[in-house]
Amino acid sequence: MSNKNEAPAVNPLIIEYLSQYDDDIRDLCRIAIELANNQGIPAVAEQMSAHVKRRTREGRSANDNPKDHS
Amino acid sequence: MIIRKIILKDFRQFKGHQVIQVAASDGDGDRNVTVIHGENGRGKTGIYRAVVFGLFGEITLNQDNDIPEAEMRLVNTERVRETPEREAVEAIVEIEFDNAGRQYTIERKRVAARYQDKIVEDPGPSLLRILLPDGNTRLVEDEKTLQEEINSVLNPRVKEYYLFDGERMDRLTRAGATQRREVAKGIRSLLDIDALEHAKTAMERVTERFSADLGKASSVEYARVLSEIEATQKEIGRCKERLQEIDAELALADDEITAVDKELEAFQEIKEFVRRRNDLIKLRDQRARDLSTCNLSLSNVVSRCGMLLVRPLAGKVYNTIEAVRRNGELPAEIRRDLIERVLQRDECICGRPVLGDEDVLAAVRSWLDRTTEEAIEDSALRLWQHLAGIVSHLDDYEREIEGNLQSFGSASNDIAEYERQLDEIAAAIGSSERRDAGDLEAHRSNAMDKRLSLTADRKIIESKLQDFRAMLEQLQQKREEEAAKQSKKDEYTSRVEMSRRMTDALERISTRFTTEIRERLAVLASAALEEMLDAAGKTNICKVKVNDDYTLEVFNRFGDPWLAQISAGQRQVLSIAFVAALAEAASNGRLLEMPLFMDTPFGRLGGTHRENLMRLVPKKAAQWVLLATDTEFRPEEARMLEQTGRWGKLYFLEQDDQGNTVVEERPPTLAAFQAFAKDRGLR
Repeated sequence: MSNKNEAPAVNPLIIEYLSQYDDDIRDLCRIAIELANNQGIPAVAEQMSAHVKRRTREGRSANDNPKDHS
Repeated sequence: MIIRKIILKDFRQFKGHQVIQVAASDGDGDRNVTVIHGENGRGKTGIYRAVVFGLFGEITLNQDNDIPEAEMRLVNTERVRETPEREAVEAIVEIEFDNAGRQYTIERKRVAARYQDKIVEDPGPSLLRILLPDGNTRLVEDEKTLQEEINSVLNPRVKEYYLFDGERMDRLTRAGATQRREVAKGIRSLLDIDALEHAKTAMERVTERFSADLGKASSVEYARVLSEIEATQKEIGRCKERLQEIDAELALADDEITAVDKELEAFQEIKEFVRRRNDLIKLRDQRARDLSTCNLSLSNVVSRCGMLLVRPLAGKVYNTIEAVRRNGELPAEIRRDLIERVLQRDECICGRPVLGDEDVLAAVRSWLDRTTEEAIEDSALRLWQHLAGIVSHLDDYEREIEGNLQSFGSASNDIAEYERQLDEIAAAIGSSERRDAGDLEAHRSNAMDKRLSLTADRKIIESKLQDFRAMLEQLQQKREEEAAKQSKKDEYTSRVEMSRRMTDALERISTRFTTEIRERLAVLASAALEEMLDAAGKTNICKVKVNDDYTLEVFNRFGDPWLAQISAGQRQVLSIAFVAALAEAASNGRLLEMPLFMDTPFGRLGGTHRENLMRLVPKKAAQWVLLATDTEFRPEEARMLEQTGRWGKLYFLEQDDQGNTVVEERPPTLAAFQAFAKDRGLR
């Protein structure tokens, strides 16, 4: 049974299923399950926005400063 | 959660200060069974009540039926009577327990006072002390926070599975629609299915929100597609909600029908009609399933039916070509272009002129008449081959369709006949001399009509849902096309795409998780049942199935549904097997740290079942508190329990001179039990 203090917040079986997805989906789904059950929908939306913003920034940064493979 | 101690002060019939230490695996080796033994009226249920009150603040139990809370007295009445008027007396329940490295002590009070001859009781203050792993203590007095803390340790919805009274056990396997929904809720919560559902719902809302943001920042067409997706998703949500409502209403209608049948069975002269009706319903339903199979087969062959319409023509064409072919005219012996060249050049392939010889010329011209162009010949031969294949299969198609139509007709006729007999039975019951039976039958008929109408509604909604899903798929494709048209995928698009992928992932995981967890529950429950049933039970009951709504079904060795046929004792064993399976599934194979309370669980169980239960349950639960009467727990049972090596504590509930209960501890051994029983003149 999940316990918000010590026990894992997401059922291990669900974590196992999630492992078949890419890093973004796996991490975000896990966060979504935890937040949806403890803090509600706005917290999920906020975390997702922050994650996408970070990814977008990382993408732009990679485009602005392409690595020199020569 | 491990319960260490239950302390009662002036609670119910427990006058004064009484302590029960609960055996736990970590404290007493493997000895995790506590037996609390008492005759009826000594307060076994009072201890169970104290646990429910202590943990959840609830002052009534399910078994109290309709007793209003205002009339429920938890403070020891004698203590109130002997205390001066208007002076408050407190009933205190204190429970000490551990969970996840923390030590908890919850204390709840009820306060009562006497005003003239009336006793007035009110809720008292509650206090939760939490000793944290770092050595600090946290005090919680606010009722809401306190309950949240307790609920985080033991969800109130799953307490049903750990705090059992004898009545409640039956509910797992024989429940009305409302109870079934409650059972399903508890299981979903216990197995974390709820958590996944919440996440799915949250992601749907988040996706809607992100889509709306994107819609504002996108092209007109893209915005239109997004808005249509949103609308379609809402329609899908509405359909799903309606389906749930219909299912709930159907369950209620089923309950109503079952209840009426039960009442009708009470009339001796109607009993046989009810039994016959149930048999007929089973037969009719079986034929309805056959009909549905025929329908499916027919729909698979319907595309070929058209072929049968052209059968005469196809046969005629095939026979015509076949005749020509048999005559050797197809393919022609000599190619037409060769004959034409011979005539044109007036020279045979052997070099002789042909036009001068009338006989030869006539023979060549005759050949020319009998030949056709090569392309036409080839086409004719292909057509012949094709028709040969079709004509040989048409007979098979016809046989298959005829067979299915016959089965369809036979099933339809049988169903009509069963319906006719059912109508007769309904009329016979309705016209019974017993007026109340007639009323009941009319009531049943209304419930059946409602059921039919709901089933029809359900089909319509399901079909709508399918349409909306197909529409959504098309729109999603369109959305992807529109998104690709955008020169740059901005943050809004990424957010929507990411949230959609997450929603899809959660949906897939949820489907897989719920399916697998139900299958796992069924396997575990079947195994536990196998361990607990006696030889006769094992012969009859072979497999447990967990239905979509988490209700249980059992099957006999022939694979027939058998729940309705099993005895009350077997039903109780099934409930316990299911609880053991739940505990195992919820803990992923480890021992679930939850105390299992059972108030008078042996009532309907025979010797073998009792023995099996005592062997199995201590292995499945961290703690087992057994509240048993002198007829349930006798020296035989004490011997069985002692042999398991799990017996950790033994308490007797004794009555003092004033009728109050005193808790007396004895060593958990057969010898101590026998000595005490002998001393008290127990059986």
